[in-house]
Amino acid sequence: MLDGKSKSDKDKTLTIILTRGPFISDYSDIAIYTALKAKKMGYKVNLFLYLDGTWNAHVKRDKKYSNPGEWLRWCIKKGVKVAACERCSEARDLVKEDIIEGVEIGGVYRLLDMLKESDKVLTFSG
Amino acid sequence: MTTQITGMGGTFKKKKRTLISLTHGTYGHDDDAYGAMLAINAILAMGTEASLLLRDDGVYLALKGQDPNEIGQENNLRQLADLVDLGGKIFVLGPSLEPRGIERSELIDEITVIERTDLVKLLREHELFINF
Repeated sequence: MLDGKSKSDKDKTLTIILTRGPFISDYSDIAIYTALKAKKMGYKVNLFLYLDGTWNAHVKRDKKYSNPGEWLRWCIKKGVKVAACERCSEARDLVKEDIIEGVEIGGVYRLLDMLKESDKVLTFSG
Repeated sequence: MTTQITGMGGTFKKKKRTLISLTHGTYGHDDDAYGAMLAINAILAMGTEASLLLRDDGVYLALKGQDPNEIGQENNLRQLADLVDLGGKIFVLGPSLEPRGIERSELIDEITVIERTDLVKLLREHELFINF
């Protein structure tokens, strides 16, 4: 920073944008796992579910195998801020009752708030 | 905001510039194009600088004379017009045009064609990069 006070790594914020749904590629798994690992390392982490990425919040129930919903619940438990695009959710009939508790449904301006505070942005899209 | 410069007259907060890259075609991958345009126009509407980089199949977004209304889809040119009205810039990666048989004259006037060597400069001019 130009005022002479450097941000330590722990003060830095990472925002991850995920645009792909679960079980169709590794994007969901890698994006959500990256969010969790970054949080464990002490970074502030935002995860924004955009476009088909909103489907990840729909994987609510326990399963016998590792899945994005499970990792997402861990993310929320550990303090990752998770938000899903309101317009994308509405288009897919994903309402609050359908999705994992703790996932905030917010407009695209919620993404802008996340971007403003971010030092790095990672996009998982393909 | 990352950078805060404290000095005479108060604090200056530097706004981040965002570069949004679109690599997918429009009709058939319209969700990506829609998502990119929704995000960039929202960023611009908030008064923050943002640019759109079209590369690979994303260059199709800037084709003149698109009118997909007959197949029930929204015309992307309206969203591009909004982007320009909001002060955004549109860059097209030149090497993505030739393999697709697209001439510069087939694209809207408001774009700037850049070469691969310009990409580094473009990336340096933006603090955030989002790829669709």
